[in-house]
Amino acid sequence: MINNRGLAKIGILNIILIILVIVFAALAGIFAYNYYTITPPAAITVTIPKTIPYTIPYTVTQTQYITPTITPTTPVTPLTTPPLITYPEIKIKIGLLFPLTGALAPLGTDQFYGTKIAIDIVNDLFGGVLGRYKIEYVVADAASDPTKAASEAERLITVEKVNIIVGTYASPLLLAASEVAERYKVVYYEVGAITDSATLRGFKYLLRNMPIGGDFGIVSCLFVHDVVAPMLGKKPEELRVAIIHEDGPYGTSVAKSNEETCKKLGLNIVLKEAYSATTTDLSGLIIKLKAASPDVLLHTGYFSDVVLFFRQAQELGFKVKVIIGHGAGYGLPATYQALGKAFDYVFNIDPPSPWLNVNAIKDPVMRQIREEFIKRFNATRGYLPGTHAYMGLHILPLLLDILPRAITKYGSISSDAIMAAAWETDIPEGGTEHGYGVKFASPTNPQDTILGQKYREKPQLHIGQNIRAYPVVLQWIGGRVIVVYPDYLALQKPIIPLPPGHPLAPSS
Amino acid sequence: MTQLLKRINLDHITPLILLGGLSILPWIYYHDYVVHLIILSLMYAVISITWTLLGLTGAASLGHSAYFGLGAYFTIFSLKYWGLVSYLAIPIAILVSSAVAIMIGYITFRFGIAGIYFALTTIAFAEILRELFIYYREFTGGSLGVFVSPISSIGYFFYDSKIPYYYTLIILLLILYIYLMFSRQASKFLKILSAIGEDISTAASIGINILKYRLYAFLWGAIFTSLMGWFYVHYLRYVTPDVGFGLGLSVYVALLSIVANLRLPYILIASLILTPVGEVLRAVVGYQFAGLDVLVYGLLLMILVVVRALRKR
Amino acid sequence: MEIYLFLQALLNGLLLGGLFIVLTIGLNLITGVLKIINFGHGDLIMLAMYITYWLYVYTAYSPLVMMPTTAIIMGFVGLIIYMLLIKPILRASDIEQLLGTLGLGVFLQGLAQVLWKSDYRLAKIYAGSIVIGNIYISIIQLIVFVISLVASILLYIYLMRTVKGVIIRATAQDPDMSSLLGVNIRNVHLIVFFLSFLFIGLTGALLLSMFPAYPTTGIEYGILAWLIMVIGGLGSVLGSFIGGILIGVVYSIFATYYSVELARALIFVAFILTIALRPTGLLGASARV
Repeated sequence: MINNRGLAKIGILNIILIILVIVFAALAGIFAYNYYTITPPAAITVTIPKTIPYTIPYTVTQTQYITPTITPTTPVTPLTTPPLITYPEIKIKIGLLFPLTGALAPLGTDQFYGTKIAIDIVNDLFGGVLGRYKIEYVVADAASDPTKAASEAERLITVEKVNIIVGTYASPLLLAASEVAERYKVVYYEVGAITDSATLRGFKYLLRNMPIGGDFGIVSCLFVHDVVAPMLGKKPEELRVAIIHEDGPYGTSVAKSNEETCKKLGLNIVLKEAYSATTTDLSGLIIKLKAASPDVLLHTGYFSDVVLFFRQAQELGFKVKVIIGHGAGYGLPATYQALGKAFDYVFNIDPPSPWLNVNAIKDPVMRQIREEFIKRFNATRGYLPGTHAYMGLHILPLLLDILPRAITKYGSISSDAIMAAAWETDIPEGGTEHGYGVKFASPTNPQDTILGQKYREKPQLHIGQNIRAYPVVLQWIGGRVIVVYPDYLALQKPIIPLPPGHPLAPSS
Repeated sequence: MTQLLKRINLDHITPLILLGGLSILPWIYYHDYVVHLIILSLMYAVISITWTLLGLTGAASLGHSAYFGLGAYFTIFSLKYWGLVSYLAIPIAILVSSAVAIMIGYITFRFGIAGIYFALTTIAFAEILRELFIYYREFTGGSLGVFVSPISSIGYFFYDSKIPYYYTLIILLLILYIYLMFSRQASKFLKILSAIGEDISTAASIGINILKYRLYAFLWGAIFTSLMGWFYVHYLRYVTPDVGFGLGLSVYVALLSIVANLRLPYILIASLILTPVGEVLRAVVGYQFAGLDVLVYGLLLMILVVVRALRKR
Repeated sequence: MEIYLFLQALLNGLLLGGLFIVLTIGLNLITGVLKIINFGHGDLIMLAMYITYWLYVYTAYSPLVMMPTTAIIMGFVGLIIYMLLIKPILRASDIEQLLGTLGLGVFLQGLAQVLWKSDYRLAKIYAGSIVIGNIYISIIQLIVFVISLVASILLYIYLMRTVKGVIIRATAQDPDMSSLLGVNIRNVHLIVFFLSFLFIGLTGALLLSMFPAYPTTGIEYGILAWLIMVIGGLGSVLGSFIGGILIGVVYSIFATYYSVELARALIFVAFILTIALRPTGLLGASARV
């Protein structure tokens, strides 16, 4: 191979290089540590205004979940005429389509595992749908590319012959794959993607049990207007709000609704900027932010850019009173692990995490499922589930409500039967692990989400969207992302502003 | 008889036979997924074949996806915002991508940018287009992209079944191949392109207008690629800046061409083998080993290049 | 206030330039000096980041301290890659080298995905800065900048002033003549590869103290490295130094005063302008190194 002289030359030269580098690294290492100590805030008496902005017009009653015994129903024009007394021969096969590789994989994988564990729980604890139909599932990788997602949907439908496709975490993948499913008239059940447009296309076989991006923006602005402003002792018009977001579909849709709603509520938007999620430098943006000196920062980003932002924000001396993130990187346990104390007391708008007021879940069976889920997820992944994983539980209404009704009332799990059953789903507040109820907007009555009906300028007419789903406000406290608002779901009161000692808090 | 057989060039016949076989296939055995895979393969084949025209002259464009994206996006604009029929969107898509191709081609060829620099320039253009389409999100939908709702009416190319798409591509490829393989004009064209590729100075010295032929070849590529963009929109009805302007497509069509040794008849075969294999590999792997298909793809690329180089020795 | 904003932006640009330079050095040695097209550079950096990560997990030493170790490991990886992949394709066309090294990059992405899944891997984050008046200087980026400076200087001296360096440059310029004169081409290549991969290892360790490692993170780094290298001039250490600083400053100022999003596109525009107007880059063929 290499002759001796060559080897010697490589050796000597590079040993010198290495020594130089070691010396320098040692010197560098000495300077490069930084510890933060945050003194936990003394007991803050928090007064939240009496009027909760979004009143849910349902009284929380006993749920209507179908428990694993069958009761004959009075026939109300079902597809097949006589009510069921015998169980039909049915095989339930679900296709799970998530980005398991590629740029979206780090966040999509959590959601995939959440959904998978949810199905496993139904199979193990309940014995399957209605206690007798075990759910078989097939996993497909959407590979973070819409064309591949569409191909996988094709494969799931034509080769694996699944009855339902469940997915997809990312909006482009949802749009591409659901297009294919709609063509084959196969039910597509979305648990994690938020783009409003998905359920505005008039698809008849698409269901989404997940709040929409437009509502994320509404909730955070409502929170700022109704809770943050009074707690900071300012009138909403006096608050300075900055909006930054990654320029992908997720960030853009949330930021847009942020802007609309905040303007409508009279908040003062001092900056709105986008950046590329894969950027290596945000210092320009941060300097701009410093110049705009906002009180509240609304941020939507993935993991690397959020970490980068927080690091450079600390380095450049950016101070702000309240930071509100909107899902993705802000709901990820890994972000907290990476940033540690710098991420404490940061808010996140997302569907509820496992850390909510369990009493808001009225059905004890549901509470049991939640605990089982936390246990299993921790065992599988090695850390406690965050918001993404918990979104996997969005699949439960499908397994515990829709499919049973399709089988018992309509006698089959054909796509039409499933959809007919879905239009009849009516789970009130407190009936799911997320606290919100389930009602899908049907083709005969397209409507906006409850939040949207109240706060959106122009109501959107959704079909297939769970109009009772809404995001809540969570806060990172003690390493977990906890629901702090609205009251009845909250585990504790929100802490506003960032307490002194926090690296981004103004007084430090 | 043997005289006749000698005159028939096997190379030129093979793709025709293949296409003939493909057109009969759905009648013998129809499976949606198989048809889908073949449609994808044929689509890539078309792009790759016209890419090769420019590739023969020694200028490898790695930004071909720019035309794909432009074709796709302008098709959607025509359908959604300008209310045009599908078939009227074709000239628009072609016009736009031709304009861009002429611009890029002229700048690069005129200034003698070739080889690796040319490839880099085309990549840069595609990236810039991608960023622009993300930035002007009010018009283009940003990184979420645009989808189009199918309209079933005479003027539109939307169908529930795959068959029309399938046969459209087959017919297109038949026309392409028959023209490129059998017409005198085309074979002269190809010979000149190869001559430029082999020895550019000699070609210039015998009076071949390098700029003109390169631009022609480039235009061919751009037009057919944007046509495939149009096709993609009608088939999958959704496009994003990453799908439209991403590096993956550009690299893949270049790969197909090189696998086929830049020989047009073999490109079809290459695509029909590699595209389904790639898809199936990803499906078969299972989530425990997700990513194995990417690994194999990379390995294949490396082995391919090494083997080619070793064989040339 | 205005002047502080500008100074800060300028400083940020400078430090960012350091990052750009450090990304480019390894690539410049292989592609600039040896003229071997390497499109897998970014993914090699990703590999270095992962190696540093696993070293960090098992030894709990910070990535900065791990720099030399990663560098040496990557150096040997470089030798292996040279023997297995690069050597056969030395005489192949540019496009084939491009595809071959791209294949390497894609292979590494798949490998990382299969072995280590897509979770984000992060080591310690250093978030400290030196404050002078109203100006904030990020410590970790300062370190990166200083390393880039030192590395560039050392490399420049090596390539320009030492006998070995002259031999390397001669081999790059005219391999046949050099081998006629008795230079062992393969050894020269091996040395350059080893050096280059040392720098890649260094870069990976540095990056891990700022960014997470995940399978597709190399794509962006590779693109940036290529852009800076071409703008600075292939093969020119001084060129990529100046180019890196220049692009960093322009990027930073544009991002601060106009738009962060379009700032990235600006780099591509600069790239195209370079190729169109001065293809050899800022300090390209005329001043070879």
